[in-house]
Amino acid sequence: MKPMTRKSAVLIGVILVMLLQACGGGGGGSDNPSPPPVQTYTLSGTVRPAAGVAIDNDVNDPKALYQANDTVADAQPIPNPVTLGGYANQPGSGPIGRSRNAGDIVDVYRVSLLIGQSLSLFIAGDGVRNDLDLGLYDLTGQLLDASLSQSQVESLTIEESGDYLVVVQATRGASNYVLTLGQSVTATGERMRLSDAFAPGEAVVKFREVASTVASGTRTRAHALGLTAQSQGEEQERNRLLKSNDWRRLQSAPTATCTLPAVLPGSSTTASEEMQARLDTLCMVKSLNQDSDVAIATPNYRRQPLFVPNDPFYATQWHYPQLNLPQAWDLTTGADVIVAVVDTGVVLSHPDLQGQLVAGYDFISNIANALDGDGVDPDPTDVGDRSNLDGSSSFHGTHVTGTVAAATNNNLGVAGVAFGAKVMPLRAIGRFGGDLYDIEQAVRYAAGLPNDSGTVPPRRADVINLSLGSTGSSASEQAVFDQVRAAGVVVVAAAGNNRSSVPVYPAAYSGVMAVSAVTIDKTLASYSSFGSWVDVAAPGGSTATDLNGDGKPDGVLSTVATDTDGTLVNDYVIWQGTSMAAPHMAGVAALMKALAPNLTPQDVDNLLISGALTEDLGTAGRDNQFGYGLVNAYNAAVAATNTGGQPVDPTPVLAVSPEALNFGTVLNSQTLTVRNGGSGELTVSSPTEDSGGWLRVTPTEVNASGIGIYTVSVNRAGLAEGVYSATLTVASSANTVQVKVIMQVANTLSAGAIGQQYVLLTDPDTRQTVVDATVTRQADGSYAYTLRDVPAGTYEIFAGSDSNNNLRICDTGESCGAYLTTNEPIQIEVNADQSSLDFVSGYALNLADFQTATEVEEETGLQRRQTRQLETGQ
Amino acid sequence: MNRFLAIGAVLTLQGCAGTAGSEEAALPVKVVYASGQCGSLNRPEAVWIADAEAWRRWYAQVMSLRMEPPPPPAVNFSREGVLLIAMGQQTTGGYGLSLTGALATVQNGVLTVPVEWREPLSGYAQTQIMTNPCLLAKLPKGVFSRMRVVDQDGRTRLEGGR
Repeated sequence: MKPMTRKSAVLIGVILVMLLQACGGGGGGSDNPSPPPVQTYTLSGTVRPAAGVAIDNDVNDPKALYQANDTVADAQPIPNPVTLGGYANQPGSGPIGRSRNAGDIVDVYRVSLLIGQSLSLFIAGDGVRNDLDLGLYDLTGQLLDASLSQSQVESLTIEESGDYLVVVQATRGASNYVLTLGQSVTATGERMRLSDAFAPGEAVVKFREVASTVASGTRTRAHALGLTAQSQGEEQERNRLLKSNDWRRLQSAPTATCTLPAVLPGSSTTASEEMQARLDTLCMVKSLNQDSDVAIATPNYRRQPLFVPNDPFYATQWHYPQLNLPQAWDLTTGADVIVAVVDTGVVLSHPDLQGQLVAGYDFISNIANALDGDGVDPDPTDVGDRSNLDGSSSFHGTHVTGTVAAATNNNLGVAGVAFGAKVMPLRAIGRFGGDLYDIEQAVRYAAGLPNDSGTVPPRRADVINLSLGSTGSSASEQAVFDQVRAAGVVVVAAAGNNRSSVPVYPAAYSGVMAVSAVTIDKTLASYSSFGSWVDVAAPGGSTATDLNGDGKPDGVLSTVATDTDGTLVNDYVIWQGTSMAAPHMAGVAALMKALAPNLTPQDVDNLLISGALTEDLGTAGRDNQFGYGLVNAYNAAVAATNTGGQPVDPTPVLAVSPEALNFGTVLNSQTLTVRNGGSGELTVSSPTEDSGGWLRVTPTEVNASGIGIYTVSVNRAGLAEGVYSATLTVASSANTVQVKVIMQVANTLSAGAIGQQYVLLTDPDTRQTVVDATVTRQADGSYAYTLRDVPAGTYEIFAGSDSNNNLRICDTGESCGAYLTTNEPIQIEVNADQSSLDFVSGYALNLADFQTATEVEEETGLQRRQTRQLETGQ
Repeated sequence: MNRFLAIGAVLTLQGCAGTAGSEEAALPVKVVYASGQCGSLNRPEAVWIADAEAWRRWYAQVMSLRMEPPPPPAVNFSREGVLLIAMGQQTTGGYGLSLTGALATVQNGVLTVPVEWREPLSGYAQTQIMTNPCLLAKLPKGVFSRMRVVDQDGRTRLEGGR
């Protein structure tokens, strides 16, 4: 307020005297009519905290009660369930107030949590420039889990009941927040949880097409590291796998800490290396997303497989997890793809290959070689050596076929790489071996090209596997493979068991993927060929070891038959060789084709060369032992999907959301969504539950197959106070899903705490504040208020906290209440003093407020009229 | 004098079948198992299995790659034995062993077993599987101290002692 001038003071003094003379009557003899005095009134009442609420004991408002909650030792106890309002800021961020300069980086709470509960943090800031994160620590201050996204909602699910420290950290900027326990709210936005399955030290990043005008320099450095499309001769930016080393080279300066600490201040424990590595990875992802040259960055998620095949011998097939195959099976199993296996033929009656084959052909032209009494014919049966018990290698093709596509999850035998695909068995290897001309005819047939059988298959193969080889080659044979490749077929061949770099054909032909063999510990098998012509490695195994201690030699297990005594006996056997490696690659190629049917052999090669299909082994980049590395089925499936292919997996999968339901103390009904997460046909049975009566599931909008929306409701009537849990089971024609349900009955909640309240009288039309109340905190946590000098009129009354001290109450994340109810404030006619204008203040969780990413901080609250208490040094 | 005694001793030691002398005797031989992949038998060798315990061990080794191997065939070790013939580790398919007849011969204390010792023909592509073919044959006990495996060309491929 400006100091008055002397002249103005005299003038006011004169007016006052005249008014007083008019009111006082008597004296003077003035006859001027004086305006009636403006009548004002007093309004008073009490603002009570809503039940189940709490306030962060150190907020930015200097008038609020203050108690530090920054370390393990001074953790603030809070009840459960609870809705808590708070504020946190980095030093120098946010409005002027108690913590602006020094910062209020972490708020540490201590609470008892129940298994299955959701812990959710709603951030008033945009989540990016004002980024808060949520952490769960044990009582010694060791980090257990964290939600570190750059969205406005962070959430964690409690895995085990117990006492914990819950921490809210201002990672960047400043923001109000609301922390909830016991409410089942679906978090949206990217999940960046420590507990998510992702590969530490890696990020998947896509750079912007054009360098941003804010030159961060990242794009230039990325180009130098070969991470941009331009640096690879590609047309369009796409996802790249970034390792920690590359990230450090991309930064111009070391990044500030960007995640929660692995260990809290005041803790006497030390951080675990693994935890720190995972935190560093999420920090890398966050920093990348803040870089203007980056379009998007995410952790390299490793999905846990939806299912583990129930084939009895699957546990012995170490060579599948070695390739991350179970994770790939989440994406596809190879449906609608045909892999031709050019080999000794197949035992068509093998039980673990039933349903996995399409019609094949026999191209062995020499009857003595064929042993089946005829030359080229439509029967690809591997006759083995029934005519002679001579113990020669027979039924090889059956083993190779099983690796490609043995029937899987059929409670029998073994699993196959692309068990949704079909094998076209083509017989070209007989007693003497494979006649090169016969092999050529078989390969032509597979590709749908004219050949000596006089026919072509109804549908050509997508992939051809050749687990065979010799050191001879010819230009005319190369020409055949050129033609097959031009027809769109991916050709895969064994690199050979020669222990040398002498090229083996057809693997070494240009346009054919040559596959070398690795052992269970990812070293080159001692028998494997190698050389400049090797493209990729896959498991061939070594039967000389049992490194995983499963009692079985560490070779490749697949389907086979034996015929000692002249009787054909089906079995499963462990073999070693590059013959076993090639069909792994062929199966992975089938998975890729299922996800991206338009993928050409050149596309596959390009992806291989870029490192997108493999785990790099040996020397960084390409080397003669492993080519571009050990094929990785999951990476390959993701790479295929990223080329824009559509998943075409017809495997139905029951998916239920959410996976847990927490009704807390107040929720009565929630929605359960049941859908087919795969494709194909799915039938869902009526859900059942085991609560004993308080839980009910009813279909709300459900089709004839049971798919759609159900309503899950609870009835607390007559139940004693406490926590109740039940399991809701949804069974289907595919899998069964169980949903954990928690509900609490709490008839008396502790009086809540809502933080220092400011009560404002507002104009109902403009929401401008007319009068600020004087407010007195009561012992029971309520606030008695008095609004003085209120002119007659119509008003609304609001109360709320100003945790961030921006002189506005009821901002997103602050407590708020209105007379009579917050949702529908009523207008008060004031023409007399009024008292007992009581109402409740609490936290409204309007998700919409927390999910709009705004560029500018919107002023959502109501302006206090009091001026800020100026602090020194501001 | 010693020489006559020795011959006499040898003549007396007739055994169950065949003679220990310079005459050639024939023994019936029967395959009990043959395969291109015989467990961990990576060295070329001929082994005479003379008792049940040794048979159990060798058979398990031969079967170690199979998930559902059949039980060992019955052998009456009071009258019979098993000859294990292992070709040794090979780098491709196309190798094999089979008996070329139903008879083996014993002469001068040496058991001779004729086999077809198959190897891949050149000019053909081969399956790229590591193989180690073997053949297990049952024979009546004979008076021999050495074994010899002879191929289709009369070439001795393997030799072993009891």
